Order: sequence, then C-alpha cells, then structure tokens
Amino acid sequence: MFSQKKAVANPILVNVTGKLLIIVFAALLFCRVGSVMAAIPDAIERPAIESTLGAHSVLMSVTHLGDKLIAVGERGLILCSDDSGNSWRQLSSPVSVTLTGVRFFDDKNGYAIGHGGIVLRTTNGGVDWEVQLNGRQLADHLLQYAEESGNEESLGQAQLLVADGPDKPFLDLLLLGRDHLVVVGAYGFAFESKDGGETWVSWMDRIDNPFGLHLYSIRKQDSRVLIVGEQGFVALSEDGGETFETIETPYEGSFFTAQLMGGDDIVLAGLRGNTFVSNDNGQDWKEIKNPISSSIIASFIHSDGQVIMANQAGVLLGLRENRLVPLTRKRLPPLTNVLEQANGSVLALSIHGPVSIDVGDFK
Amino acid sequence: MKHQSTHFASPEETFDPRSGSFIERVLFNHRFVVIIICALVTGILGWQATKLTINASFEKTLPTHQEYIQNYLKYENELTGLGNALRIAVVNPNGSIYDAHYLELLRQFSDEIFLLPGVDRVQMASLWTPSTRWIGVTEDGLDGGPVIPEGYDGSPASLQELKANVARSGQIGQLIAADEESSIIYMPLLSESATGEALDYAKYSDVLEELRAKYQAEGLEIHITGFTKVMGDLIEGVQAVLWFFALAVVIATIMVFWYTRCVRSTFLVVFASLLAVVWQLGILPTLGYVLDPYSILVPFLVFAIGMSHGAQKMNGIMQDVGRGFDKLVAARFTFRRLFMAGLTALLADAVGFAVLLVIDIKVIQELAIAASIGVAVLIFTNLIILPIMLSYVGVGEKAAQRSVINDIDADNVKKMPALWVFLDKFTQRQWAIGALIAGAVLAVVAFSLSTQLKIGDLDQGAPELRQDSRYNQDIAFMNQHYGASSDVMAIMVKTPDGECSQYETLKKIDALEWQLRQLPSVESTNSLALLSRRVLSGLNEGNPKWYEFLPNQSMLNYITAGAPRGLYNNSCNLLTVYVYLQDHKADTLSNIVNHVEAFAKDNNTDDVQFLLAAGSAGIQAATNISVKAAWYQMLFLVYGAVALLSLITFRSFKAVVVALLPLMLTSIMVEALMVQLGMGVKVATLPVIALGVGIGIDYALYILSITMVGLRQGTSLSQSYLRALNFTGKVVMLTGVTLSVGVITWIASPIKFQADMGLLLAFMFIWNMLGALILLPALAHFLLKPKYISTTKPHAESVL
Repeated sequence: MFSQKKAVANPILVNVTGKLLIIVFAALLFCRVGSVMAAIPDAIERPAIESTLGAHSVLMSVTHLGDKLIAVGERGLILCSDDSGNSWRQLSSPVSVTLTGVRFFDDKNGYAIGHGGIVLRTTNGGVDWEVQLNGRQLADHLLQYAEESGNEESLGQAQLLVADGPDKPFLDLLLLGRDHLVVVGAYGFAFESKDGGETWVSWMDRIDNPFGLHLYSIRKQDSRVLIVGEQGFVALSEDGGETFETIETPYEGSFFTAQLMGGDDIVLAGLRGNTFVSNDNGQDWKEIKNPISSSIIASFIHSDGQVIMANQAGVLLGLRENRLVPLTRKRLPPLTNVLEQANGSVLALSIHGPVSIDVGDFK
Repeated sequence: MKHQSTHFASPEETFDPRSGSFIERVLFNHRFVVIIICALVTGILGWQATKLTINASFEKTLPTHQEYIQNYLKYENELTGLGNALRIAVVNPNGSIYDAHYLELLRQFSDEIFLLPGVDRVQMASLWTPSTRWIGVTEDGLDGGPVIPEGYDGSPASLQELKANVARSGQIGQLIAADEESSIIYMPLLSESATGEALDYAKYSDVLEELRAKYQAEGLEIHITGFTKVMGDLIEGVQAVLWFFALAVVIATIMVFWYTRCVRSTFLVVFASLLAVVWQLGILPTLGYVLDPYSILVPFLVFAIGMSHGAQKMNGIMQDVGRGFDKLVAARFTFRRLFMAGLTALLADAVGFAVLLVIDIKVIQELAIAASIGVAVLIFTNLIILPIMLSYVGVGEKAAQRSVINDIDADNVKKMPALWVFLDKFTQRQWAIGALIAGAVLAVVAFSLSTQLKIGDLDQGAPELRQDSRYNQDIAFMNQHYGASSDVMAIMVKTPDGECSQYETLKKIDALEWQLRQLPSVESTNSLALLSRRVLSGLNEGNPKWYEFLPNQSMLNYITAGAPRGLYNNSCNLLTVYVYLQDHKADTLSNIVNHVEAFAKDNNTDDVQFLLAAGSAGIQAATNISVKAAWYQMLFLVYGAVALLSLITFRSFKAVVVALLPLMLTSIMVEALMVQLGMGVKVATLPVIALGVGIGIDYALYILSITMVGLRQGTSLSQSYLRALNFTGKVVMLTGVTLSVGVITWIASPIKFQADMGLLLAFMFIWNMLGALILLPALAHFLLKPKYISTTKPHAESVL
C-alpha cells in the first residue's frame, strides 16, 4: 500500500532535510491517519450498527438457543427470534464483518465465527458478545509461535499472514464442549481451543493441505472428524481429530457441505450440485443423481433420518437412496443454510433473509 | 401615480397642437412617422420571431451556484453511470416472454433501436444483444455464453434453453421483469452525434413514438422511460400550450368587447397587445434567448397586461369622444392623462419581475428578463402606438355615447351602479370591521395551513408531467415490474488519481452505504464496495460465505479492474455511490443529505472527499435547498420593492399599509392553497408570488391613488372611493378577470408545473382584485381619514 511506503520512506529523509521537517511530516501523517481511524474503524473492530434490515439481509448460519433461534450474517448481524423465525430482533455485536457460523453449547454459552479471523463468544445467551480472536491477533500468535519453533517455513508463512492483515475468514465451527471448539476456514486455517478461545492450537500441521485449500465444513460423529473443502479436498480423522488422513474422491470440484451418517457412511455435496456417498469411510464413492445442477451450500440430517440439502437455485433437496429429490416447488432466493425446527419443519436462510418452510411443503 | 381628474378643455375650444408635454408633441405631431416606424419594427421583429425556438433545458433549471450543483457540474462528464439512457419495456400481453412470436418482434425492435443515430451501441442491451450473457461456475472456473442460445430457432426446445440461460444470467429484475412477461431494451444515448450535434430531444421523442406505435400495432405493449423522453414530452406539451394562447386571446377579446361594445376599438386593443407579444417574441431570439416551458408564460402575461392597459386607454378616448371631442384630440388628452399612470403601473410590474433576477436559477432569470422585455415593449405598443392608432381609427359612435352615459356624477350615490354602492359600504365602520375580521380569520386559517408548506416536488414519477401522463404511467410500470426506482441520489467520492480502489476509501463507502440503507426511504444502494462483496463471492465459486468486503488491496484492485463503468471513472479518481430512493419528497432528500453531510464531515480527508450530489434526487435536493432560501429572499425583496414604490407614489406610510395588507393576505392564501393542492415550493411555483404581487399592486395603485387625491382635497372617504371606482374600478375588474383568464387556460396543460402556475396565478389575480376592492376601503376607513390628512397637510394639495 502506498501509505506504508510513504511511512517507510520518511526516515530516509532524515539525513537530507533535517529533523524539524521530519517532525512536521510525522505530525501531519499521524493527524491524518488518526482522523481516519477515528471515523470508520476496520470491520473487525467496528461494532455492527443498528439495522432494520436484518431479516432481509444475507444470513449465513442459524442455531437453536433454548426455544429461541440465533442467526448470523453480513455486516456483523446477530439476530434472535423468539417465535420460530417469524420475527427477528438484532442483538448487539462488536464487529461488522460477515459472520459465517454460530453454535451454542447450552442456553448460555455459544460462539460465532466470521471473516477477518473473528471468533466471538457469549456466556449470557447472546446478550453480550466478546471478540476472542481476530485475524490480527491470530497472525501475531502464529508469528510468535513460529519464532519460538525456529521453523523457517512456518516463520515465512506467519510473516506473510501478518503482512496480509486480517483478510481471511473462518468458514465453519465445531463445538465439542463449553470451552472446546475447532474452527476451520480459508487457506487451510484450522485451529482448536480448549479454553473458550483464550489459547489456540493449530491443526494445520495435522492436515495435509499443501496448497492451502479453503476448508468449508467440519463435522464430528463419535470419534470420526470430517473436514471438506475446495477442489475436492476431504480429510478424515478416526481418532477425534488427533490425526487426519486425506481421502481421495472421484470429483475435483469443491465440497461445501458434508454429513457423517451412522456406521461408516459419509455424504459430500458442493459445486454444481455434485453429491457423493461413501459407505466405507471414503474407500469407495458413488455419485448421487441430482436434477438441479446448482451448488449445494448447506445440509442437515432431519430427525426422520433423511439428509436435506439447500442449493443456490433456492430449492431444498432430499437424499433418497441414489438420487436427490426436490422437496420445494416454489423457487426461493439462493439458500445459504438450513435448520430443523422443533416441530419438524425447516428454517432456511437465504441471501434475502430467513424463510420458513412448512413440513407439508416437502413431506 | 397621478390620475388627473380635471377636464382639460371643452369641445368647443380649438385644440392647440403645440400644447402638451414634449413627448406628446413629438409623438402626436408626427403620427404618421410613428406608425411607419412601428410597422418597420414589427416587420423586422416579426421576422425575427419566426426564428424563435422552443426548447427545454435541464441545466437551466439548476441553481448553478449551489455547492452541490457546482460539484455535479464539475464532475458531470466523469459520471458515466448517470448517463442519458432510455429504457424500453416490451411487454408480451399474451403471457411469458418465452414465445417465438414475441421474441421475433423483440429482435426486430432491438435491431431498429441499434441502428438509430446517437445510440451508444457498445453499451446497448436487450435479450438479443450479444452482450447479454449468462455466467455459470464450473470446476474449471467460469463458463458463459449469450442468453439467446446458439442455433436459436424458436422451437420449444430452444425456448426452454433460453429460459434456463435467463435464469442463470442474473438479468431477472434487470433486463427481464420478475414476472418474465416483459423485457427491456436498454438504450444509452451519446450526448453528441458523430457529427457533433447536440441531442434533439423533440426529434428523438418523435422517433420513439413512431416505434411505439409500430410495435403496439403488432400486438406488443411498450413502455418508455428516460430523461430524453421526459424532455421530448415537455417540448410537445409546450407546443400544445400555443393553442391555449389562441384560446386566451379569444376569451380576452370577448371580454373587452363586452366591456366596450365597440368592434373597432376592441380590435385595436387586441391588435396592440398582440403587437407587443410579437415584438417580445422577436426580441428574444435577437438577444439569443429561446422559449422554454417556464418562460412561455410570459407572452400570456404580456398579452393580458396589454389588454388591460389598452382597455384603459380606449376607455378614456371613448369617454372624450362621447363628450364631443375629435378623435385626435381625445387620443392626445387620454395620452396626457394616462401616460404617466400607465408607465408607473408597468414599472411596478417590471419591478415584480426584476426581483426574480436574484434567484440563481437560469429559467427563472430568463423568465424575468423575458417578462421585463415584454413590459418594456408594452410601454411602446399600448401607451404610445395604441392611442396614435386610435387617433386615426376612432371609436364607434354608439359605444362612445354609451361610455358617457356611464360617466355619471361621482357625488350622486343614487345614480351609481349597484355594485359600486355595495363596494362603497366597506368604507363604513360596520362593514369595514366585518371585512377586516373576515380578512383576519382568513389570514389566521391560511397561515396555520401555510406552515405545512413543503419545499420540493411531492409526487411520484417525473414531476414535470402529470401523474396520469403516459410517461408517468410508464415509470409506474417500470417501478412495479423491475423494482427500479427512478429517484437516484449519487454521492461522488473524490480520490487522488489512480487511487479509487484504495481499501481505506472503499471501507468508508461500504460503511456509508450500509448506514444509508437503514434510512426508511432508501430502497437500495450500489457502489464499488458493494460490487466487491458480490464479486468476491463469485470468485470463490459462488459460495455465499464469501459475501464480504475483504480488506485486501490486491483483491480490491482486481475487482475494480473488472468492474462495469459507472462505479468509478476512467482516471480512477472519482467513485460514485448510488442511493435509490422510494420518492423524492423534500423530507426524504434532506434526510439523506444530512446524513451524508455528517458522514463527510467525519470522514473527509485532504485526499478523499465525499461530495454531494448528482442523480435526479441529488439535483432535486440541491434545488430544494436553493429554492427554500430563494423563497424568503424573494418575498422580502418583492414586498420591499412594492412598498418602496407605493411609498413614492402615495407619500404616506399608512397608505402603503392599506395597499400592501390585502396583497399579503393573498400571498398567505396562495401558500395555504398550495398545501391544500399538495404543491410544494419549486422552480415553477417560485415566480408565482413575485408575479402575483408585482401585478397585484397595480389594482391598489389605480384605486388608492385616486382615492388619495380625493382625501387630500378633503372629500370623505366614501366619496373619494366612489370616484376612484368610477374612474378605474371597472378597469381594475377588467384587468383582474382578463389576467386570470389569460393564465387559467393552462390548467389543461399537459405539463404539470404549468398547470400549477396557471392555477396559482389565476387565484392571485382574482384575490388581489377582491382585496383591492373590499379590504382596501375597509383598511382605509381606519387608517386614511380626510381629517387626518388635512390636519397633517393642510391645503397642500390644492396649492399644488
């Protein structure tokens, strides 16, 4: 960036033009930067403004909180619904980045993740959210860690991260306990914290992801942990995440969502609606027929055992044996996430806000 | 203003041609030369008038010195996204657009548009242009093609393919309506043709209407919107107004004839007034002016003022002829009596118009200039040429006799017409109190209403045209089916050269946009920052989790390089933030403006500045600010000028109060009427009060000056007033009604602001007349008593 170059160039001027000029220069520079910072901070430090548009905005993730629902989305929006998604009110949020995931451990403790390497934590049921981690801190941690380890390669990578600034999102979140969570994200980011986000351990050396592919989804069932991502990347751990093995699939496109089913079953779905099922922990894969070639972004396992998926054409699909069946007739806006409601109906999130889909519509 | 009430001579005495003022002698002793000169001037100016063009200029309606407008004009050429474009919605009345017949007609239509001169063919878009493409994400990156499938043959299979392509083109809501029953031909226009000629709105509009007719005959439904069409419709409307002029002439002629019952003199008065109009229309192109939808009211006013002054002249001559004078002598006596009076009245009108020159909006200034020219011309045609022509032609014998029968003894109340007797009652205490209480009540009610007076345009659609006009129906269609608001405010963001994609700047824009979208009247926004959110998601295989404004300079540079034009300029030093609004009501606009101003105050740096305003709503906001300031400034000036003029004429402060209070009541009532009719203060209504007051003071001048002469001679108020009524009362009524008639025809104008102006002016002319006839004597009862005047100025008048 130019401003950085100027700042670096100034000390060179010291010898040439004398100290007085430098003081003036520095003062001018600081004044300007100071006023800019005061006006509009970066999104990772800027609390979300009050908005009436929450329920019509791009929402990314939704979860149950007791009998309430909590959803997150663009511009740091955190929304709460007390009536099964009919109406939404905004909760205060300390950031303005796009939030990509939210999970609650119980009706008090929960986490939200998002762009800029953001991890937020609440301990009072979503009333107050605190930043546990942002991309700047993360890069500093990694640099410190790399310096301590003395590993040249990771030092170089950490220095790059610091230079890049907080521009890398977390894309999915796995909650294993009140204080125990794993976050995955862009460029192969994968970190674990066992103390509610105070300290973090990198999983990146356990996952063989040399090209830093984006990791879109992380799932756990018993001791199996599954991570899927860009360009057909799939990694499976059978020891609760201690070690991962990269799984070969017949597809080279990206997987955006995955489910671990009973036994050794795995379901993967992603770009252009490509969907694959394995019954043997990824040894063999079979392609699932999908009538709509539109990317599948999210999925969940319905309480009746059926896997339901949401695609960008605004259609919910049900996985029946070897094919996907459209469950909704009316085209909805492009969908971003789905959640089963208490009564068995489905709440979908879209780029224009939440949409309730009645059970009768797809059963 | 001095109305001399003494008779000059009796018919028996021989008239001395060397008598009278210098001007009179010069003019009347060389009558033939004057007529010849007049004929020559008329010939020349008449020929010039044929060169007069009617045009509508957008820039002339802008307050050019207003800060926002300055910003706009400075960067106008860089704001490509606000370019002049037409949108033609082609509807298939038989249902969906996936219909072979519809698509074939659309192709022909699109091709015809493509070949029209002045169309920016690179930017033009329709379903059939190759630039309309679909894009899909594949494992290898992006894939795409034209929405019209290769080998399209109108078969059900290719229609199906087209439908699929449209679905993934992202054009639904843009080029294709949400209900998929219509599609748009987007038609950007070049501001200059290849040969460098400016766009001729009227001609273009005609071409579009021909195309509309042609394809509607084929069974399609066509809606056309865009600035060029508004201007075309406006010019067409102005041409229609010319017929109203003919109508106004006919009505005014009938009225003057009804008043005089003399064909000869009626013809002369109409002729002289039309002469004034011809001269005025001839002078305009000579001085380089054109007639626009605003200044077209001037010929009406000039004609109407000419008619009333002409009628007054003729009235005098008629009475003198009726008393037995020769027509030449009668004409000279009338000239002697009324030249100064007429001159003063016309100068008062001119002051009313000249005040408008302080308003920093060119159409209003040109209106003021045109009106001043018109009034100056009237001094020649109606104060000089008319009496000279009358001195040749004379008046009808019967009519002259009739005018003298009416010329009765001012002191004999019993012989007065009933109306005069009724009006005279207002000089008595009881009636005066009643009139003043009624006036006060009206004033209070009107004032409380007028506090709700709004600045700006209050209706949807193009404010220049009527709500139910073809154009505004087309706008409504577009808004309904394409969700595209026609009210756009554009915020300009100035950066150093080549730094339009800087993260710090775009971050501010991103934050501002989201803040603005929280305002209830904002429907949507667009900017490079918002585009970067969408594109980032697209670059990451369309995954919505990447919908974010990323703090990554190289990514922002990459996105900027591929961004469509309109979001930033060629030298990458100006960004545009578009704010689409629900309406252009004054409150809506000031809300946005205030928010952006506050934001700019906090965020502007030496390098990066947020500047208001462009786009239709931005211009409107700036105009509102100017108009609001001008409204009070203009009221202050016009009343100041009129008060000064009255003071010079009457040399009495109390008389000034008597003359001005009725005018003020009318001004307040006009504001209340505007509230009732849902009209705001805007460029079109701004001149109305100045014109109304400037012309309205005439009545008070006519009536009060003669009343004052009587009072100063010691006669009672009642007698003085009756004498004034007898001298000028009829003419005042004739003037009021003629002026009203002159402008009331506009109510039928297809141009909304002309209809508004016509209605308000007609209202003002009538109420000012009533005020002069009713409130003026009532106020005089309390303020102007003969005793009072004779004690302060004993016998002063009679000595003079």
